[in-house]
Amino acid sequence: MKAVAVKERADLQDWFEAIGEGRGLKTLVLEVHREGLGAADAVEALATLFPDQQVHPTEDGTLQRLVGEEEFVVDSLERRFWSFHTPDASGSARAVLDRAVSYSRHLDRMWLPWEHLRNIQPDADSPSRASFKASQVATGKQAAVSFNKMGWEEHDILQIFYEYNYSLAYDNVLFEIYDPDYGRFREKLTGDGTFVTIGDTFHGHESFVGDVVGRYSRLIEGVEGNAMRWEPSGVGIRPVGKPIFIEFERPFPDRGRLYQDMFSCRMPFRLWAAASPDRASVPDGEVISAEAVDLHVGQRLTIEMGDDWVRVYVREGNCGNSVARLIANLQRYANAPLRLADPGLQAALDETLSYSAAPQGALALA
Amino acid sequence: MPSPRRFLPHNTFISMCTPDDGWPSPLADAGYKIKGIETPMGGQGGQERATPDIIAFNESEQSILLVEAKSGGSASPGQAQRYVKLTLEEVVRGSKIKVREPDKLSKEVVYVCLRDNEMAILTGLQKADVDIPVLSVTEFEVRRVGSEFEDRRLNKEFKDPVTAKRPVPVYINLDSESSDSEFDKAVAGELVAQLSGKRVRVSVMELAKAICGFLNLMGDRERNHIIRKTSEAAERMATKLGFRFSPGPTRPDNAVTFGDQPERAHPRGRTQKYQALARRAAESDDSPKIKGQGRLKDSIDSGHTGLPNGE
Repeated sequence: MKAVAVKERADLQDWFEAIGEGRGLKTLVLEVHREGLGAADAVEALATLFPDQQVHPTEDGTLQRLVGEEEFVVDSLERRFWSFHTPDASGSARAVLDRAVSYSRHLDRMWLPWEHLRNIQPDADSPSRASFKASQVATGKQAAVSFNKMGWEEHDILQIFYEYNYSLAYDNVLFEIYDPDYGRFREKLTGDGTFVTIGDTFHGHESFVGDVVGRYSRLIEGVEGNAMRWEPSGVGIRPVGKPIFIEFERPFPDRGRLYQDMFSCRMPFRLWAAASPDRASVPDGEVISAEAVDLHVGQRLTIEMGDDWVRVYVREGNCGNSVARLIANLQRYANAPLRLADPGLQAALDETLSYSAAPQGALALA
Repeated sequence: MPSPRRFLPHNTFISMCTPDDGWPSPLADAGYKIKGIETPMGGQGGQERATPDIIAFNESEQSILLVEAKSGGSASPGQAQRYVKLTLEEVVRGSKIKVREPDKLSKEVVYVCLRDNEMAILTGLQKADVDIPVLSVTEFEVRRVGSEFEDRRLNKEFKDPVTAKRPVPVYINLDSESSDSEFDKAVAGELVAQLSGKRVRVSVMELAKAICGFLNLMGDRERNHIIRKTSEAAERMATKLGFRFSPGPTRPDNAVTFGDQPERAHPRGRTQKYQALARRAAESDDSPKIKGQGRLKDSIDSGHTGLPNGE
């Protein structure tokens, strides 16, 4: 790889070209909460969040190089979601970031609901590809399913899995895209906000990442907009906001086990709740409720769960990403297409990103 | 978090004014929004004030609902008559409702009660010679009994019982009259939240603000009650969870200090430490004790905040 120093945003295109299509560029997006970090700028914030890495500022205050086991160019232009670009292997890059996320409440991954993986470039007659992880809830049997093209037939096959009580979760999706300004590029996207790309221009990739992140931001900001709080009203007070109500298309298969998984304090849910010894099984119709703590961000979160619904009480100051993590993991557990009762949130969930498909054979699928 | 029984009428009414929370919203559908909770009004000429538990307002129709939410089984004739006698001017002055069309403005009184107490409430209102609608609620159903509404849209909305498949969402769950176990549950969660946020120490004032979102909007006496109960819960929970409770110069300064920091441990060890806390917290999980109905801004406190402990 030809060495290209990134000093400013304009250098990113040369840097991208130097990586070459053989390796591809990986971009991992992290949610960064700078509040409470006491960092004056992104350089200080990175130094605090990645104490084992070296931070090299560039001439652009929103671009830094993070150098250690792996090397990243960190784009902090979006205040809340930072892109960590690297040509290094995505597994090792992911390990560096996962370690930082695990130890810092100021960092989190993206938790894309499966609608945000599905609703990209719909109906395009292009070599898009989707991979799923399937597991049968009752038996624990697992299968990986991958399609080189998502059409009606493929959706029919997925329906069979669904009917046999398998939970199905999008593992990753891959699209070949053409943009008249930015050229052709291929994007592979996973549910935790990892992008792998090759293509003509960095700008095309940057634009795609921005679109996915922007849509996700609208969802979690919508959640935060519903946060429950009290306001003065005349000489009295009044409640503002409401709980987030989520209705699933089919009942959770085993709520006793789900309860134990959810509140085990372990990944991926990382939720704490006072343990109840009688939660090995939960009778149908019984409502489970928990004064939970999202251990990742250190915030209290009240959760109620029925046979096929969940109500989450988000308080003022809570992070919307907690709800996105809950939704994404419940979808993985139960394969349940869901509906958010709030129409604004449902719109943010359903929002479709439309792109033109790249011509057949423009970029070979790996 | 099922609604505490004594807040079921409050929570049901608020939910019916709030769309998309997983419960039917006939009042929101009719145009009503919550305008205020516990708002004192009237009382001119030395008369006793009325303090509706909830005020809802339909801005386009300029119609006001004054709501008395009853978890108990008695309807005081004096209270009911005070509501009915309130003038529109008194209601507007108390509620600070924005009046766009003075000639259109109207108000009506509605009682919300638990289904178990429906007959007792109706009898009380009859004795007071007050003819108003009553919404009788359970966790899954609301039906209108008593008189019809003056607002015809509401008669349409409540022509048949309003039913739900899920329990009422909880907007109000804690006040100074909440049971010790209700305080314990909230304080335990908040202590673990603070611990996972790598806090070393948290004061009772911080805990009280966190578990009671309206603390700063309350009168002194009610606020002091909540701080006192939070402090007592913090002491109990600190003992239960293995933290240290230490008195400060004043009750709000009392604090819980965390010793062991799970976040400094290896992820596996960290998980085990939190799981141990969850088990210990569950040991104190008693059934909530239901006490009598209390008003959020009730002012019957002896007032301890700001004074040294024990005074």
